[in-house]
Amino acid sequence: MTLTCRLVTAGFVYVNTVSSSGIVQFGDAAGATTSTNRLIAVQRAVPIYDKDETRFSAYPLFYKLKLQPGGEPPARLNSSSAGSPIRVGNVCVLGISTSSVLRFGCSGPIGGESRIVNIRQFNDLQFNNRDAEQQPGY
Amino acid sequence: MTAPIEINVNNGPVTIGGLAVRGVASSSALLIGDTESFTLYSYFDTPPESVIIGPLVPLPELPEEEEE
Repeated sequence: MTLTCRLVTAGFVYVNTVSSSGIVQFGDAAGATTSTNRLIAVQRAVPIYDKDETRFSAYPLFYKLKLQPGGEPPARLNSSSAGSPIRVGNVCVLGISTSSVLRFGCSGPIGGESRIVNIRQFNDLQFNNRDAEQQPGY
Repeated sequence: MTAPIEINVNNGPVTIGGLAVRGVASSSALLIGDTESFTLYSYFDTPPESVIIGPLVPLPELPEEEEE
């Protein structure tokens, strides 16, 4: 595969927030770009938390093997641009998050990985009240 | 054995007025330019057993397993 880089020009770029392994990159990169984000989100009716309460290794999602794409397809791609540029006016982005990438320019392979486990914990009291409301004649 | 398909792409000039994007999230990419490839993974797990209804106690210590 041959890939020729093109000149990219942008007028005005506004990015409000970059978080959780998000990447904003201007310019070319020779190698690969990778970002990884792992998260255990615990939502509780009463926000009381113990430190070091949850461990990544306790949840299979965090060490599940990634499915890899098969081998290269039986095709040869030749891409040429003959110096044709990419021109963009104003770019406005509110958020880049959880292993996402915003790039202006040319690069090698882009890789991203995001793994999130969400746990919700409610107490008995709320559950019982909700159950009671669903009873006929309540 | 069949010969590989050959694809030739000639890129012309590209001009875009403007871009307004609310969000790029969960292993996504917004690219203005060129790249060889994208490999993006996003795992999000909220199985039924992740909802715990009961007395408010710390999460149980789950058995740690060896990484594969």
